[in-house]
Amino acid sequence: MASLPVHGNARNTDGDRGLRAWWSRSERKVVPYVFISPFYILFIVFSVGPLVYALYLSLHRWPGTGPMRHVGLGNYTYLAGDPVFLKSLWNTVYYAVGAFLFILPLALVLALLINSTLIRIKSLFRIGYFLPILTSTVAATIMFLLIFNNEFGLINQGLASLGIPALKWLDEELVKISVLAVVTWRYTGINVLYFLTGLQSIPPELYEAAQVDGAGTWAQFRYITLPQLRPIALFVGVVTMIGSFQLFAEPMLLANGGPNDASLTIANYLYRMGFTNAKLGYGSAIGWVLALIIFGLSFIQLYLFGAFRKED
Amino acid sequence: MKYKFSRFVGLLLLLSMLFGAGTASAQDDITLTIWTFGSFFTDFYKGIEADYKEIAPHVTIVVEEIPYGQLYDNLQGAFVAGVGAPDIVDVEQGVISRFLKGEPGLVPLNDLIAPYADDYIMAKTGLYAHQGTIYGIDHCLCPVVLYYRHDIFADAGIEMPITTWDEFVEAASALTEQGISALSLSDRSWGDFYMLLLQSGSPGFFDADGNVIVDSPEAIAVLEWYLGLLESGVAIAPGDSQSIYGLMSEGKIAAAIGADWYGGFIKNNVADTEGLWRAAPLPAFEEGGARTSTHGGTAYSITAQSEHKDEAWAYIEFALFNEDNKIFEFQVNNLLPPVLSHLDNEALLGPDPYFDNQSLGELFLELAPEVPHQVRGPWFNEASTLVGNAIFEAAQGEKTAEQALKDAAAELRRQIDFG
Repeated sequence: MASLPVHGNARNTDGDRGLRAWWSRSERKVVPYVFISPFYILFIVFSVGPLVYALYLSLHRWPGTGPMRHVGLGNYTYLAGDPVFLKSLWNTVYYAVGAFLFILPLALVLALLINSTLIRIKSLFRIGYFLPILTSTVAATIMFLLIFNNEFGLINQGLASLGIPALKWLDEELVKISVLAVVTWRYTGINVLYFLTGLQSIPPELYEAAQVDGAGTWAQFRYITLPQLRPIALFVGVVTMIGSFQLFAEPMLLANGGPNDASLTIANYLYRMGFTNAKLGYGSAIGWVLALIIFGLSFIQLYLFGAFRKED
Repeated sequence: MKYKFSRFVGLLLLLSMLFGAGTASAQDDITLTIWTFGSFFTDFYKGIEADYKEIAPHVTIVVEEIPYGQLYDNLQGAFVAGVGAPDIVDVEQGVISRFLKGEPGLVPLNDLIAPYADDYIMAKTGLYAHQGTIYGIDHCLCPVVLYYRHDIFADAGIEMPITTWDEFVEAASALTEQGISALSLSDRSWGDFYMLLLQSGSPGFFDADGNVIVDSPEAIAVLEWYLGLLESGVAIAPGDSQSIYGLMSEGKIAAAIGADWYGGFIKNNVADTEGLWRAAPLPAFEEGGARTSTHGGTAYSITAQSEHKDEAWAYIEFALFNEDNKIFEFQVNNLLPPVLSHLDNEALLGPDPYFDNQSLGELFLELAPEVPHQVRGPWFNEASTLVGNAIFEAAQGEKTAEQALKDAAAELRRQIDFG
């Protein structure tokens, strides 16, 4: 028995030598991977892992406890005929289109104004457009609830003073517009910031040269500003589209997705199914469909903006 | 040197093992973790902590207050993961159904509550049960009454209390003529309708066997009557609670149906009408019918992951069946005990200046035995969402009450079949 440790030590020493030799051979190759590994470990644990597991779950029906029931593509086929999912898809598309029609043009106009020499107190405007982003979504939405209140809300009181009958801002017909108003208030500022960054990175020589050639304000905007903004516009477009499809808090807090699911987004429906109703498989299927929609639309946007074209 | 160091480490290990064994031998010292969602519950638990320490010195109670939605998402996560659940959790009635699917992560409490069946108002267990197995024991009774502005009713010449809903609707026309709505009812969510459906004698959206009865003739009749109240102007649907309180303050809404806690909401949100409110039994659907319903609740549940289930139940017994504790809880969070022998406590029967010095406690004591039984189970969330939408569609005139409920029931059955 006494000899065992000696053998053990000898083996360890041999092992140590082997390890050292391997390390000296491989150090230069391994160390960079070790340095970048924290990101990949976190990415695999918190992103890739859940994605793969969600894909697995989406092929099952499972309330979170007890045995899973394999249903193949059953969740996906049910989804295709689920009227509430289709309604939430339509609502989400409505918000996304609204964001492109209202938020982006408004943000561009505000960025142009702030970037121009017309506006004097620029820091005041910068604070103004950035404050909504810093405000808690819950606090801001509660404030909007008071503004949209049917009986005593600010807007309806204003309309009443003009002799216009009160409108039901949170009813089926208008609730999506109300959600869009909150979203516009909240996200225009950050897009102004993006556009402003893009505008300020346009070399002033281009405008000077254009002025020498006799280009007016509109011509400068049309032929210099807009083309030069293309990369930032692509970024803003993709981010806005992804943000719109992931919209969750505002419709949830403003109208709980209702009335009659009129303001429900896909993300709200995913939460309702996956958590509130404990249908983890179905919720995962909704999540995958949402991810594929976002991926597809991002791809189309990138393609249309020529992001895949080789530079000349 | 190395040899000495390793001996030193070995000695340390030995000592730590001995020390560890020493603590393990004091097995009686345990910690019970409670998850709750409101400061009104936390304050109650903190308030009884010292008394419980005297009874069970080996038990340490740790209360973790987590925001409402997050608490139940965390609980679901703990059940999915198989670890991380607390010993005791406050399960609000609106979220219980998701935890009744699959293999519930909550402990059956039938045998534990059985010795109290004569004193505890067992109708409240229906909210937290599935196929006869009870998974939660309610903190509160939540009996529903009619809160009304006695000044407005008296001015209109209406004598309260009124015995039946038919008489109430007839009398309310005197208010409607003055532009006052007698009631406030929701035209888009299920709560008000559900209270009245239970009062009508229905077990709710499911029968005792778990079959969907959302489209039963009884439910259709109650919804038709309910929508009639909204159409005739007897009731108004302002859409949100702030509007309701505003209209109550202005005297445009003269009454409301609500549980014990709703009286507290009126008191806090319509403070300027102190002394002008009273409460009465709900008018019955027919002479001699039920005069109350129930709305809301939060149950004590013990999780299957708890390693101290017996101690957890002992604590719940102390919190729930000790009369002093329940009276203290009422003073902290205004929740009326669901225990018959507590309801005649002097502290609950005192006059309330906000309610014209009426003793609401006496009214609740009188109505407590009539609190209706109900059946919920794992599909209640789906049912309540669909019924809320059905009420909205019918109130908007998009469908008849019958069609809206039949469509909701068909969709609910489809969802249940889907699993």
